Formats: sequence, C-alpha cells, structure tokens
Amino acid sequence: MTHAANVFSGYVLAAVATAAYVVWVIRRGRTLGRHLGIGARGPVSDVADESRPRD
Amino acid sequence: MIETPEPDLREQAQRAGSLSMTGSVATRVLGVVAIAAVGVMALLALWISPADAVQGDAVRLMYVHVPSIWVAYGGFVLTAFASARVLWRTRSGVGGTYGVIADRQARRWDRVAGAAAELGVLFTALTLVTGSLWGKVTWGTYWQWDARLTTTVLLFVTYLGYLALRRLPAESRARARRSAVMALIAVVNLPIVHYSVDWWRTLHQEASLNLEPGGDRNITGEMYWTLLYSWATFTVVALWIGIHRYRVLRLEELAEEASLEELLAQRRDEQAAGR
Amino acid sequence: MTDLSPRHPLEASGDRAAVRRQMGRRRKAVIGAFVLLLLIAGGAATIAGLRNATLFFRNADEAIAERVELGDRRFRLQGRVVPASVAVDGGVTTFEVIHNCASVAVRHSVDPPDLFESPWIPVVLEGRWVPGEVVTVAGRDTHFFSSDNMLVKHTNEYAAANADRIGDPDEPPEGFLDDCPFEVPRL
Repeated sequence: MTHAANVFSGYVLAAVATAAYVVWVIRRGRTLGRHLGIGARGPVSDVADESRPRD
Repeated sequence: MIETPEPDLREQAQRAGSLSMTGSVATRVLGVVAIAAVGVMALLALWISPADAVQGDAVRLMYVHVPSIWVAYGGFVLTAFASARVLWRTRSGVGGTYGVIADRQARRWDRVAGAAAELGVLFTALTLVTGSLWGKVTWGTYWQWDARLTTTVLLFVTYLGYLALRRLPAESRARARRSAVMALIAVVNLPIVHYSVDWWRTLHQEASLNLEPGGDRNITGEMYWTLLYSWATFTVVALWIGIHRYRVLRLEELAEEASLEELLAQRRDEQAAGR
Repeated sequence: MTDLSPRHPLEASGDRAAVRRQMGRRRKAVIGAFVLLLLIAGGAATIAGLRNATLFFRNADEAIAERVELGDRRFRLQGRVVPASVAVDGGVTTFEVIHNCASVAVRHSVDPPDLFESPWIPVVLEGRWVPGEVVTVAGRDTHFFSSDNMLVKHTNEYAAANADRIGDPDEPPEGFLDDCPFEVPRL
C-alpha cells in the first residue's frame, strides 16, 4: 500500500539524512583535531601544502 | 594572531572519554538522551499513536514533518539573533585590525549562527521531503506551487545561499559581518512562510497547533502528545549535533590560523634564504 | 587551505593598502554577482510561485459568480464533495462540490486520490466550465465543471480512526450548510 510505503520512506530518509550529518560532523571534527594535534608547526593540512605554488 | 583562550577541545573530549574530538560531558549526555528519545519516538509515532480517521497511517508523517520545520524555524531565528550579536560586536570602531575579528564574543556568535543555519537547512530539507511524501498520499500529488510550498523552497534556497556565502574566502571580520547581514535579511521570509497558509489560499492546511490560549485544538489527545514529544526529541537531537558543529567550526578556525602561521613561516624562511 | 597571500607586484612595493584595495575589489565583484544572482533567482521564484499561489483556487460560489469572465479558461475550483452526489460511470466520476451554499456539478475524468472517499472532503479541481444542463442540490444550472486533475485539500483536523464516532459519517461539518436555502440529500 502506498500509504505505508511513503510513511516508511519518510522516516527512513529522515533518519538516514540526520545520521549522515552526525557522522560527517564528528568525523570532520576528528580529522581537524588530528591535524591540529600534530603540533603547532606541523603539516596542518595536506591540502595547504599541495595548493601552495612551489617556485 | 589574536589569542582566544578557550577551553581546549581535545582535553575536554578526553576528559569525557568521548570518541569524538568535539565531545564533552554535555554532548555525551545529550547524545544518549537524543538516541533514546528517537527510539521512544519511533514507538510512539509508528506504533502507539492511532491512525487518523481520514488519512489513516499517512498521518504518521506529521510527527517528522511538523517538528522538522519547527526546529528549522528555531535554527533560523537563532542564526538571526546570533548575527545581530556579531554585527553589534564588530561594529566600526570596535576592535578589528586587518579585517580580523578581535572579539571573542563575536567569533562565538558567528559560530552559533553558522551551526544553527546548517541545522536549519538540514531540517528544512527534511520538511520538504517528508511533506512531499505526505502530499502524495493525501493530496494526490508530490508537489504544487502553492504559497506555503513556494515560500518554504525559497527559505531553503536562501539559507543554502547563506551557507555558501559563509564559505566564500574573505577576512574573518568581513566574512562574519557580510553573512550576518544576509542572515538578517533571510529571516524576513520566516513569518511569511509561517503565515502563508493564512494570508493566501493554499493547498496546504492551516497550522495544526493553535497556540493561542483557549484556542481550539485540532488534534486529539494521543496524536497531540505524540507531536509535542516528537518536537522535543527533534530539539534535543538538533542541540546535540549543533554543539558538535559549533566546536567543529572552532576547529576550522584553528586550522585556518595554523595554516596561515605556517605559510607566513615559509615565506619568512624563503626570504631569509634570499629565494 | 589556499595560499593566503597572492604574489602580486604591488605587494613587493610594500604598499599594503594598495594590495588590500586590489583584492577587495575583485572579492566585492564576486560577492556582488553572487548576491545579485540569488536575489534574481529568489525574486523570480517568488513571483512565479505566488502569482500562481495567491489565487491558487476559486471557491465554488466565486467560480459561479465569475463564470462569464472565466469563459472556457482553465482554473482551480475548491469545494467540499457532497457524499450523496458521487457516482462513477466508466472512467468518469461525477459529483457536486459545495462552498458557501453554492453547488457545482463536476465531471472528473481521471481516477481520484484515495482520500476522495472521505465524506465532505474539501478538494481542489483543475479544469474549466462547460455548458450543459445539470441539476444540483441547489437547483438547475447551465454549466458543469469538467475536471482532469484532483487534489484533496485535507484539513488540519486530526482524530483517531477508531474513536467512537457520534452521529453518522455522512454528517456535514458543523455549520457548513446552516445558511443554505436547500436541503442536501443523505446517502
């Protein structure tokens, strides 16, 4: 029945989207923290090193 | 660099024994409460609460759809409030050398604004999706450009734009002030969305809860309490994620500062070596 | 992270203010363009949406009053379905909708949504006036409404399905027909 299917999809979508956001936020926090934890002068971000033009 | 002596996030997380970098005792408690509340909500909304006389089981979508937009409203109001604080604390003549936010409070409010807006966007998206699924089984269509639906999409797009604006590279002070101005403009749409069902003829029904004292209650007992409970659940979940997001924003600032320091150091070394 | 300080000739000159001006202009242009685009998109969506939305539907009584101006133009009609008037013949569903004591005869050519079956449900129909002699609960009429799209406009009232119901389900909503000069037959 469409009613049940739509209700189910609605709940699943909401749960998955929220959970995905939670995971994204926490992982991003961990990644950033790890970078920052290497020491004040360490390679803070790999991206920064790559994007910097070498001359 | 301007020193911002704030609690060391990592220390805080370790003290709480949290797996995440941004955890603390408060978020651990909130997290446990949030997950338990979601479990109870699923039971109440999908199992214990009755089917509707007209809509049948489709009414159960209300317990996700309506609390979602309430939490989104809350997020956007908080964004506007925090943005006003940012503008006030960075007004001309207050701190701000070389376009950097010197004021700790301003930085905090800027983070609050960013975290709250992101949650608002997430929950507005959930509102739109669940509303569309609900519309299909009740109205017979996924979408209609009526006033409520149109203004809600506009709300969603505006705050997506706000989040994009926050990401445009700029000096911290200019970026914070610019996004604060946009947040204060964007929030004007909020009452329009809410009252659209009263101001215009819409396919969408009028507000379900009459908050005026002594007003008629359109929802009977168990459904009413399930709706309120779901709203409380969504609020706890949003608070929990919001605090984490706020701290991640702090880490982002720190990373930016650190990379700036590093670039400056490199530049100094180059100069010393005579290039 | 990006390289924060572009290597610019002005920079070498040590004129920091000039560097800042230069960078500021480009940034402002980008932001200006961005905000402008957003405003245009938003404005266009609002106008397109609300022009449609401000007159999302005409109520049954208004549709009758504006019949001449409407001609054979398409519009949306709103009213509550009279339960006793519903009849299905082949793929065509005929019924009447009432609003403000005005009744419109409807010929609907597509399968209605599930909720159409609830008594006195408000619906929004898309279609046009077609000349033809009909008899409604309110009397004779010279036109009926030919519809090919139905949206059920459910209300904001919720009640448990299994609650003890007082009276019969065919009962019109309280006060809905109070001032009407005609009687509506029951199922």
